[in-house]
Amino acid sequence: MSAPILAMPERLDRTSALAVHESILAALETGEGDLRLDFGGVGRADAIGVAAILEAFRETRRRGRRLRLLNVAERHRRLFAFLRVDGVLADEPGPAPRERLLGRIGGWWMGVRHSAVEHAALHVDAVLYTFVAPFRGRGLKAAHFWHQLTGIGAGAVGIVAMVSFLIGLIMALQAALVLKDFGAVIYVANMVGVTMTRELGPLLTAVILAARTGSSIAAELGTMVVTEEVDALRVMDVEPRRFLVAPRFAALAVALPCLATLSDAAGIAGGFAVATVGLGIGFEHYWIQTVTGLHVSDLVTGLVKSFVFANVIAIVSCHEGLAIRGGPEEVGRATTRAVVTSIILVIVSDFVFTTLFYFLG
Amino acid sequence: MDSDPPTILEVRDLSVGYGGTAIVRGVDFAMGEGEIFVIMGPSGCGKTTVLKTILGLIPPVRGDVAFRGRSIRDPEGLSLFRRSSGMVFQQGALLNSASIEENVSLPLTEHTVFPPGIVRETVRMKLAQVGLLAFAGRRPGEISGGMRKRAGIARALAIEPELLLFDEPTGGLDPITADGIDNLILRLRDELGMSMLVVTHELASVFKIADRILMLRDGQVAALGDRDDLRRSGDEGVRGFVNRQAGSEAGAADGFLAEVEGGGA
Repeated sequence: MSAPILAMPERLDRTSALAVHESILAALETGEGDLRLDFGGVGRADAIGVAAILEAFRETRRRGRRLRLLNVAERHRRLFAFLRVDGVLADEPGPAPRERLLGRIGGWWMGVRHSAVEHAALHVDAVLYTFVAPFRGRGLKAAHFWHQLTGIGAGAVGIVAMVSFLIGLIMALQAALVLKDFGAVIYVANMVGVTMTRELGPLLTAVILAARTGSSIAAELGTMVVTEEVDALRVMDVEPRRFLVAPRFAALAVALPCLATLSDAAGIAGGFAVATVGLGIGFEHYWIQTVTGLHVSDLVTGLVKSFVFANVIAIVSCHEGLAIRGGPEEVGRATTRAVVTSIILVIVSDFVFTTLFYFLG
Repeated sequence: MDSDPPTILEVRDLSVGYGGTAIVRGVDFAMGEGEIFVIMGPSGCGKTTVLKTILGLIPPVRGDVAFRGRSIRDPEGLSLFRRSSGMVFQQGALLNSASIEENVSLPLTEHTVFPPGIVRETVRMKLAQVGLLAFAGRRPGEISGGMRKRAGIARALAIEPELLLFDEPTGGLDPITADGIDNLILRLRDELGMSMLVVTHELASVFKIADRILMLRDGQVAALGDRDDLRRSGDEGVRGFVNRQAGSEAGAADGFLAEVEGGGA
C-alpha cells in the first residue's frame, strides 16, 4: 500500500506545525513508498512550519523512504532558500535500514579504532618525553614535574589516607563477623593486609585519583584548548605533549604507587584499630600475623598495578582534555568522559592483572 | 624607483575546508619584508581560518604556505617558521597558570639556552615596550583584556621574530586602547622593520596600519592591493566602500561593514 498524498494546510506556520508533523508521522506508520506532501493549498508559511516539514523529511530518510513535495510555489521555494534549507530538502533517498545498521556499526568501530590509536600515540609520546627525551635535553622540565607532583601527590594524601583507613575498619569488621564463627578472628590481619596491598590499596587510590586528578587534568587541558593556549604553544613550536602531558604523566606515575603504599598502610592501620579495640587482639600479635601473612610479591603486585593505573588515568584524562573541539560546554563533557573512562579502564586492567597474577602464581 | 622587498611569506592557491565544506577557496598572496599586510572581511568570511592554516594549525585541502621559500608542509619548514615568527591571539592565549613575566619568557626558556639573567632582562624590556612592566608578577586573570593583548604582543616579540601575526588585535577594545595597539604595530614596523600579518575586521585599524589589504568575502579573495588598488577594483562592493572613504574614514568604515556583512552572507 502506498502512502497517501497529504495536503498541507493553508497556513503552514506555528499554529499548524504540530498537527502537520503528527499527520506526517502517522502517514509514515501506515503507508509504504514515497510520501508526498501537496503544497498547492499553502498560503502563509513561516520557519516553524518549514521546520515541521524538515523534521518529517529527516524522519522519512531515517526510515529509508523519500519525501516528495508537490506543487511548491516559487515564493515558498524562495522561503526555503532564505531559511537555508533548500539544499536539505533535496529529493534524495535515504539509505536502506540494513545499510544504516551496518553504517552505524562501522562508524562505531572506526571511532573505537581511531580513539585507541590516538591514546596509544599519546602514550608513546608521553613515555618518550618522560623517560627518553631528558637524555637528549628535550624532555619535561623538573619544575613542571614538581609542580604537578605537589598537586597530584601531596594534595591527595589526606583523602587517600582517610578513605583507606575507613575501608580497613569496615573490612576488618566484616571479616570478623564471618571468622569469629570459626575461631579464626586472628586471620583478620591476614585478610586486611593481603587485600589492601594486592587489591584495594591500588584500586581505591586509582579511583580517588581518577575522580580528583583525572577530572582536574581534563578540565584544565580542555580549558586551555578552548582559550587557544594550546594553539599558542604550538605556534611557539612548544610541543603540548611534552609541555603539558609529560609532566602530568610522570607525576601520576610517581604519585599513584606512593599513594597506593600509603593506602595499604592506612588500611592495615584501620584493621589494626578494629582488632585491638573491638576484637581484643594485641598490637604485637596483629603485627606478626600481618607481616607473616604478607609476601614481597603482594607488595610488588600492588605497585605494578598502581603504575599501570597511573598510566591509564594520565593518558585518558590528557587525551580527553586535548581532544576537545568546540566551546566551554565541551569541557564539562570531556571531564565526565575522562573520569568514567578512566575508572572503567582501571577496573578492566585490574581484572586482567589479577587474572594474570592468579595463573602465574 | 624602489625595488620590491624580498618575499617573507607566500600563500599559494590555499583552500581549506571542514567535513567536505569549503571555508576558504583559492587564496593567493605574498607579503614582503617590513610590510604590514592586512587580511580583512566580515565575520565568518574565513580570515581566522586562513591565519590558522598559515600557522599550520589547520591542514589545507589544497595549496601551500611558504615562509622564506620553504613550505610549512615540511615539518622542518614549519618548525623554522614557528621559531621565526610570533603570534598574537585574539584573547591573548596566555597560560593562566603562569605570571605575565613567565608567559613572556616562555619562548626564550623553551628555545634558547640563555642564562636566566639575560632572559629576565629581555623579558623586562619587552614588558616595558608594551607598558606592562609594573604588572609582570600578575596572572593573566588579574589584568584587563587590553593588557592581556599587550602581554600577548610582548610574548610574541620575546624571540625577536622576523614575522608577527595578529588575530583581531583591536577586537573588543575601547577606541583609545585600540588606537594604542595600532600605534604599537606601526612603531614595530617603523623602528624594528618588522613584517606583520594582521587579521581584523576593524576598518579604522585597517586604514591606519595597512600597507596592503586583502579583502576576503565568502572564503574567496574579493580584492588585494593598497587603498588605490581597492578603489579601482572591479568588485562593486569593494569600490563602493573605498570611494566612501574619501569623506570620513571612520564614519564610512561602519557603513562598509554593514554592506559587506549583508552582501557576503
